[in-house]
Amino acid sequence: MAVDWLLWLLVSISVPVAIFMGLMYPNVILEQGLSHRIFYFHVPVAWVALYGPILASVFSLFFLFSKKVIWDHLAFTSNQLSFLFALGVLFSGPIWAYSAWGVPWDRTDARLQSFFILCLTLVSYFVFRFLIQDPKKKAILSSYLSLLCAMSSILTWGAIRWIENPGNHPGSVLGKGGMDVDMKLTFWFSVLAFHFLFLLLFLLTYRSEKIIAYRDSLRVERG
Amino acid sequence: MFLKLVKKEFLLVGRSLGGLLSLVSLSLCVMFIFYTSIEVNESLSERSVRGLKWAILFVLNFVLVGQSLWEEREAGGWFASLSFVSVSKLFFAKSFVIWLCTSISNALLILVFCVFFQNAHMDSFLGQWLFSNLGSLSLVFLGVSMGLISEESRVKEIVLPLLQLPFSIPLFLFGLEAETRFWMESGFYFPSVFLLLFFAVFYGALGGLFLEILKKES
Repeated sequence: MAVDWLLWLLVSISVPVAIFMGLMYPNVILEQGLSHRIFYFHVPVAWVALYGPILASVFSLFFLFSKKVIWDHLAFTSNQLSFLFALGVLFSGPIWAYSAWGVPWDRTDARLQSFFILCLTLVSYFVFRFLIQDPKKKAILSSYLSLLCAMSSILTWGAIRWIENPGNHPGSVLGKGGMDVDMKLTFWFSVLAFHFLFLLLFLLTYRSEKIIAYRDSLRVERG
Repeated sequence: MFLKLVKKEFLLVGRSLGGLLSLVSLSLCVMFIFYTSIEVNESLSERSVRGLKWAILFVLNFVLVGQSLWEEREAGGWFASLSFVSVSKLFFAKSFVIWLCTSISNALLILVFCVFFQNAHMDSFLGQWLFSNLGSLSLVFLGVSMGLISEESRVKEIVLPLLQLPFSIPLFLFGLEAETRFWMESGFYFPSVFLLLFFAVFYGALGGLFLEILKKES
């Protein structure tokens, strides 16, 4: 319970402060105007969305070695949250893009396309999981799809690094020799805040998943 | 034993609507649609022709995997074979035969491309065929494993497109990029070939391994 309270406290303080900082503190980038402020939301959320499937794949590997259903629940939770954060990216991206590039969706951009495909792979994972009735088979096949989702996530991460990109999406924020101090401070604070949010949501979703699993087992017992 | 399995898979491909012949005619149809709608008015760039080739490759694999699995399910062959041979052998035999069929179809397709598209050149035939075959191999491994696991779901092969398409598209994007990079660099650019080989080994090993785990646990 102490962890719960701590996480609630951290999220309720850090997320509003991060959003407020992003809107007020860093200087405006002249080429993009005020629209660049969405960067402090878009990039941290995208990071969480990208490593959610990787985390799920690690849990899936643990499941395959131990056959304990807890790891399958953790992997499922991780993918659910990854999908939620990916939706955040897909909504915030076009707002920023419309202001910065003049179009909400650049069809030639490898990062945009690959991110959308990552969302589709996660949808496939959820639908397929829903369609399997046997719990044991569901967990094994979900592990397989989790590993493939992780591959898709790595390829999405690499899309701006490995593909000769004719689109507008900027490269890695870390690889350009850095940002100004005000930007850097706001950015890293936002990264931290959205990670706290991820942890809190992870805890809540995992618990609800456990309750659903318990309810299902009671139903089976009652016939 | 492996040869017997390969023979069985060839018979299955032959049963599925003319098999290889239907595959070739499908790829030529798609090619002609693009030829008559675009190439006759303005020549497609080299990159676009390459993209078109990969798109056809993608469709071919999707169709042939679906056909082969559907035929086998209807005949009940998969479960009959499982009683005397391991699931990974079946998986690799099926993948090998489908890949062989698509590689023949790929060769014909590249030749026909050279005839109809101005920016497709005969002197790069071997390189193009190599990349088509490497891409096919990964797509086949992924497609067959997805097809087999879709049998475990309530809606059977109906769910196959939902599984196969999103998981194949990253492979399609990166395969196309690897081939483009190969032709841009001077000499034989090994990293592009290694990337596609890595994909093939990854999807092949993962597919075989998971089918074995699934069989053991069920």
